[in-house]
This record gives sequence, C-alpha cells and structure tokens, in this order.
Amino acid sequence: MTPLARLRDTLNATAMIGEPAHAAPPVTALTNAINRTILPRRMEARLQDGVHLTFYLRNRRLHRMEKNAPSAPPWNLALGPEDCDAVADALKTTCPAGTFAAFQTTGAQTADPFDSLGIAASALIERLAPAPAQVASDDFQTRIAAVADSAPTEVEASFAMAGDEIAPLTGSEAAIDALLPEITDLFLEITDQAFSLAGALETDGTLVLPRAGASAGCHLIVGHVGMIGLLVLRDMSPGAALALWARTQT
Amino acid sequence: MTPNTFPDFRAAHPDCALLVLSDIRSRTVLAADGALAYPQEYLDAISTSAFEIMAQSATRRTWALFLTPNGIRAFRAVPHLGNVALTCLMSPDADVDIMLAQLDTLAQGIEPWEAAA
Repeated sequence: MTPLARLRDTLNATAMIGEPAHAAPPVTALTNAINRTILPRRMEARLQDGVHLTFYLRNRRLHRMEKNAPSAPPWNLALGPEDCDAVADALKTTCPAGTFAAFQTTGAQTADPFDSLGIAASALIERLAPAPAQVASDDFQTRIAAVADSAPTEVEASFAMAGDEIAPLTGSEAAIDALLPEITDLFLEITDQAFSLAGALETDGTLVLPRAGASAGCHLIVGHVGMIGLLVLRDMSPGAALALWARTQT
Repeated sequence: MTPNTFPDFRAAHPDCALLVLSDIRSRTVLAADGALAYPQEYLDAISTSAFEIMAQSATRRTWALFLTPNGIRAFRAVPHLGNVALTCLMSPDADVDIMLAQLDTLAQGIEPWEAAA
C-alpha cells in the first residue's frame, strides 16, 4: 500500500467512524477519547496480553475504570479529582507501548456507574504528558553545521538567516565570498512577503533549488522557527540532498 | 498529449497525487488531474507558487522541490514552451529524482499548441 493510499484509507475511516483511536499508543488513545466524549459512554479496550479494561466516560471526565483481573485501587472504584495521580500512574503501568489489541466505544447503560465526580480529561492529559524531550543538538545552526561537517565534499558552504542578518556557518573564506551575493539574493527572494511559500519556510518547509548558472548541484533551504538555513551542495541530486538532510536529523 | 495523458501518468506513478500544468506567466491552470477533486483556488495557488519559484527570480529555474511534512511539490519547467510548468504533488517519501526525470519526459511530450489551447 502506498503512503497515499494509506492516508486515503485513514481519512475515509476517520470520516466514517471518527478518529481511529486504537491506532494511537494506548494512553494517548485513552486520553483523547476521554477528552472528546460528552455523552455517557462505556469504552472497552483489550490489551495485547488479553487484559480487558472498561472505562466509563461522560462530560470529558473519567468516572470509573475497571479491569477483569484482580487489581488494587484506583481500579474498580468511583473516581474523583483526588485520584488523578493514582489513575495516571495506573494507566502508565497497565497500558504498555504499542497499541490496543481491541478498542471500542458503546453507549452507556442506565445501570452504569456514573455516580462520582470523575477526573477531568485536561487534568489527566497534563499529568500524563511526556516530559519535554532533551534534543542533543537542538540548536538549528548547530544542526546545519553538523550536516555540513558530515559531508564535507558535497557541502560547499552553509548559511543561516535570522531577521535580515545572513551568517555564514561553514565553508572556506573564498567560497563564502564567492557565494554571498547569490545567497543574499536568494534569501531576499524566499523571505519576501509576496512569496507564497515564505510562511512555510519559516516553520517546517524545505526548498531545494538548482544552483544558478552553470554550477552543478543545488541549494537546500531548510525552514525553522524564526530562522532559515541554506546549504550549498556540489554535484548532488535533489533526492540526495533531501536524503542527506533527513539522515542527519534522526 | 491526450485527455488520458495525466491520468495515465498518475496511474503509472502512484506517488503522484496531483498533476498540474500551468501557464506561469498568467498563473493560469491549463490542465490538472488529481486523486481528489481539488478546488480551483488550490490549483491557482499552485500555479502562483510555480510562477514565484520558476519565473520570478533573476535566474529562470528549470526545476524546484518544496517539501513539508505532508508532501512534496515538484515543479518542472516545460523548456520548449517557455512559460509553462508542471507541478506534481507527491507523498513525503516519494523518490524525487525519479519523479523529476519522469516529469521531464512528460514535459517533452507536450506540444506548443496544446499549451496554447
């Protein structure tokens, strides 16, 4: 199945039945479901090891959760805001990485236990949010320079532009002097307010353009929040340029 | 170029979700074929992007790629027609080198009267 076909199938499935929550990691699927449920619902999930879980949701709150195996509180109890931490810990312990083996939501029955205050979805989401990841090389200029260093024969020079300032990052002095007029024109062109892709380039867009004149190779222009990086590549195809950037960003 | 040229190209290259032929001087859509029925405004925006990237700079470019997390736009000039360009929307993991080569082949088969029609 091609990525396009997979995307189309996902969109069609989503249009028919709502978000395919079972495709997300279990804890995320669960908190998303709580956050989007207003009417009383019974949500049943089966983990890969066969454990069967039932959650009672209403008004974007989790009122009760039950497990088919012997379990300590907060399982099988009426829940309130004071149980938020315990519930978050229990969910993290019970729901492993991967996905639910089965996941379905049905309307609640009259006898279903909705007699508690419940835990707000927002509180659970906040409590379960992963800690901000520490990216080893988060500095954008460092990443650009790292790409240049990883392929010294292919990358002739690299530059970064923030505001109206253009700063050379790597490359010999002669190469930078020779390239600077062309690079300045290029930066001005792609950051012009009338350029329809300028907005995307200042966030997460990537542009690959042929080098001017008879020069072989291409320019790889990488967008970042508030900054644009540019790598001048020798004798490199556009696909190889994108692959070089992708390879060094993982 | 026949009415089936673009659908046949897309059938042969499943990564191509939309193919647009634009007059980049007037930013007019000359022909388009896509997996979905894209609104005219969207096709016009693609033609505008093609104009800005291919024709607006001091150096006239023959190709360009624009990548976002959602997909790739490949722009390819139709050199023998001057102000005409092809734009292909692809999935993010498509092979852009192959697609640019295929777009080049497709461009070479477009006759001047077809772009003027």
